[in-house]
Amino acid sequence: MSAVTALRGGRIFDPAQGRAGDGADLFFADGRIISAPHGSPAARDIDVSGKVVMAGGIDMHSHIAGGKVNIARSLMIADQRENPDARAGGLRSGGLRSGGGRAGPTTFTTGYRYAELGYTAVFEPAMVPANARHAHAELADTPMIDKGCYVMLGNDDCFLRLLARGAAASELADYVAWMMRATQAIAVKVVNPGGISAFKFNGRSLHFDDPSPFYEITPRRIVTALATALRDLGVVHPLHIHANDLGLPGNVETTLATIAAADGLPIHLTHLQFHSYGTEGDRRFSSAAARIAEAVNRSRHVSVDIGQVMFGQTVTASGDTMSQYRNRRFASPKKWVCMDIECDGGCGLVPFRYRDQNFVNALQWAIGLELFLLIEDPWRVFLTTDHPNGAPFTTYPHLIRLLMDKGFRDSMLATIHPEAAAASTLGSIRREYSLDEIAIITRAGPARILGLADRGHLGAGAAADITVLADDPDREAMFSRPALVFKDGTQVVRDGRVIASVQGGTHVTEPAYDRAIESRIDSFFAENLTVRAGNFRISDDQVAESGPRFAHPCAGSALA
Amino acid sequence: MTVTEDARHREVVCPFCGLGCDDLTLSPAGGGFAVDAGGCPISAARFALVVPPAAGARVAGAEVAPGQAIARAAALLAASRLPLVGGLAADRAGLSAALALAERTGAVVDHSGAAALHRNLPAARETGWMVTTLSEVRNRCDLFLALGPDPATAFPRLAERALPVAPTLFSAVPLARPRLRIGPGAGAEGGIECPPGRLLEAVTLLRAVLGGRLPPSAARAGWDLAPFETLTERLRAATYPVLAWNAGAMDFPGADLVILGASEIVRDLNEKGRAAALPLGGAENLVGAAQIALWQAGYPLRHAYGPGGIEHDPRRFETARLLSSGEADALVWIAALRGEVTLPETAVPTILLAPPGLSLPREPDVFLPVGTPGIDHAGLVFRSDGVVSLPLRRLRETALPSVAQTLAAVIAALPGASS
Ligand SMILES: [Zn+2]
Repeated sequence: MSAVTALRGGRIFDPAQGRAGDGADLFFADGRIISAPHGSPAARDIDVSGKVVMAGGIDMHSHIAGGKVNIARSLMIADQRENPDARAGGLRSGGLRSGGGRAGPTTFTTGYRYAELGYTAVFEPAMVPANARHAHAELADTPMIDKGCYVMLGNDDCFLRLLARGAAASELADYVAWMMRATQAIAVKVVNPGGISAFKFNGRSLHFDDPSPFYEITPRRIVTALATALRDLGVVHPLHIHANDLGLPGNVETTLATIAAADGLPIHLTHLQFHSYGTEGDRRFSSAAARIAEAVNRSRHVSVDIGQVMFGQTVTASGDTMSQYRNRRFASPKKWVCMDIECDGGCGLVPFRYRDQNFVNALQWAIGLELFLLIEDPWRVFLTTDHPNGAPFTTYPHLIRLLMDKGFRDSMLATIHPEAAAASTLGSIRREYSLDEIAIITRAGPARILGLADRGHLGAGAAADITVLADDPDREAMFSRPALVFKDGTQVVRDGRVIASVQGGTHVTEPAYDRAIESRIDSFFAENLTVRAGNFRISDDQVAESGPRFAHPCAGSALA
Repeated sequence: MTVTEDARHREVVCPFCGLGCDDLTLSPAGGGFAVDAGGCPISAARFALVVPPAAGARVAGAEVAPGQAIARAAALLAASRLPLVGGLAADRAGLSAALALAERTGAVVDHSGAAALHRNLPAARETGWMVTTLSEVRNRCDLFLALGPDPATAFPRLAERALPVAPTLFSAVPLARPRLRIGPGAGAEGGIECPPGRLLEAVTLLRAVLGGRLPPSAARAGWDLAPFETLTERLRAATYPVLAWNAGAMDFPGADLVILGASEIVRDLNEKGRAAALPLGGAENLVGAAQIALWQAGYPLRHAYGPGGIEHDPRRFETARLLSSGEADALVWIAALRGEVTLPETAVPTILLAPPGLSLPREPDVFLPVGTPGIDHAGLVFRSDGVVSLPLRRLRETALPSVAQTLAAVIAALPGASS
């Protein structure tokens, strides 16, 4: 065994091991946590007494790479100019590279800023199959963090054709498995089920039980078919659903219908805040957080992330062309992009400024917080802003303070649009998240829902991805500037600044499939598309070029 | 199966024009390759390129050991106040190394085709656009309208690959897809004849007619409205009309506004129906260079690495201006994907990375021979539409290093390098 590092006297928050702040020493060697070594003293002793020790953060839904993120960077030229990230000394010192941006940060800046917030893994949730090679190439240039991608299915013509002709569940599962492996994905996401395809046929809306144009398939069928395929394949992360009717007043009904349709099949509802709207009040826009939270609390097969809105400038980046085209009138600054992509999917980019004195934006902010606070089981809710859609990920420390500090939350509530504040129950909610619960929604929970057995906890054998935080009663200050961060045992951050560049790995899932599907897919590509299946498929080597490739077993969902 | 059959390479990706054809069949021929299927004049010429017997590095025209040439390149860059890393015709790894070298030496970065890319920026970046990709065009496009010169010149297989008269995913009978054009020579094809200098008028007129805002006769400046009215009806009747242009062939004043006008027509059509724009381009991996510059540096080319961070300025950081003004005092020119090397005319010390055997307009101070991505080594390039990137394979054994390997050696030879 090589040199052992000991972190002495920290308060360990490791929910996966049932530890909530007990004082203990933590040891690691060769990039892994180890039990207390016998005899020989540690080669390196670091005194962290009184400090909070957690596993590295895991962001399970953040748009950090791929074609649409690059379009966002291109549109957000002021975001680059106003947020330079000059890493003085460049390659001379520690191999750091310059970059910039906040809503659309460059790859290097993305890696550094995440590390500086104590995060060690981030998952890109909307990889269009045709753009998968690009997404992985960008992630290879994203240092500091582990990463993984969710491949977008359910609007791809190959899948919709299979579904329309009544293909057997086993054939659908074979197709899903082939796609996951070909695109080197860890999970599957469906975005506006059927709606992206419908928009290409000039469909401007598609509700949960509407038959889609051309295929005449309902979103309900797409959701249940994909969720079933993933369950049958044993993929750990349940179907990651960006539901229909994003952003529309009254979409609470669609969201509840989606939960009901799953009928016990594990599903994950993403950026739930954007799907929790009612139509009450003079403005016909109201919070439905209480109804949604109640449904989530009762449905043990459902996990969610919130997509919290924060006030300020950002850019919305989504595969949901139908919704983004509808939202173009809200663009600020006034520019937007929509793209139809390769009989696979699409993307839409709309710059947006959330304003605290705008009734709708202010209520969106309150709805997100209501959801966080009303959903009881922290293991089934994950901290996200749907970066950059609700806000840039750099706002996480502020969000943590809003969750942990009722006094602070109430003072913020007092500053927003008064009618929105009055329309929200937020002021009456007393709950404050504990450090243990924060460790669950940012570490242990995401690791469990993604099947990362050796991440998100500090038990022996886990990767030595560790964040050490000074215990500051101002939780925003505390989480803004970790005292120490270790990635696979290497110290990468000191006092909130990156001091060394490291390269993380890529997490993938390798579901098995009947190889009979291959020749059918080969012909589909050759006859209908402009890329051959052999050139579409990404080799293990490309993904392993920049860092380790971690293949996870198909052990089934933790929600099953 | 014969021996010849065994030696064939199938489903080969062609990295040259930007269309990203990946269905080529090649067979070895005299040191290069013959394109047996999926060929076009561009791929036939480039894949035929052989590695000549004298393929070594040179300093001041004299062949030297590779290490000596690398050392000389590093010395020239170390002595430079503002180097320019240009050309950038390289695969992803080569481009990534070029950006690393630029940051390490405080250089400006530009691509030989960036002017074309930047003609798209008013539409792509200032207003935004509605665009599509080749497979969508292949399956949905029922009216193809090109603006400017015929795109078939730069993209010989465009019609065959994106607009075949064949059944599609949504049509069991072969889809009729008229191809129309507004531009020079279009009159002879049944389109609207228009010299480049009047394209902006034509596009503005088309948009006005489409919007029901017939301009007063004085403003029509001699245009016959009838063809515009017919075209408008056809655009409205189509289910997925596609407006395409090749910015690289639109080297005339106001081309960016022509493109913006076309993009606005597409946005107008989408108010009621569907339509999409197809900006064509990407020769020499221009689209890849722009994508990588965006994700690594935040800007679509023409940026500089300074002590205060990264600066972007499409005018200031343009190759010809930097060289003629004397601001740039060293040039690294990368031409790994070129069939001919258009080395800029300049007196500043020049380091050229290119496949050996191409005729050069002048002898550079340092010549560093590199392989061609997709022939001599593996790699990754982007297609015209910016969405699809394709894997390149190594097809023959040569000793030629890649751009990435060569630039890594130059970086390592710079003073103060850690290794
Ligand atoms: Zn998202």
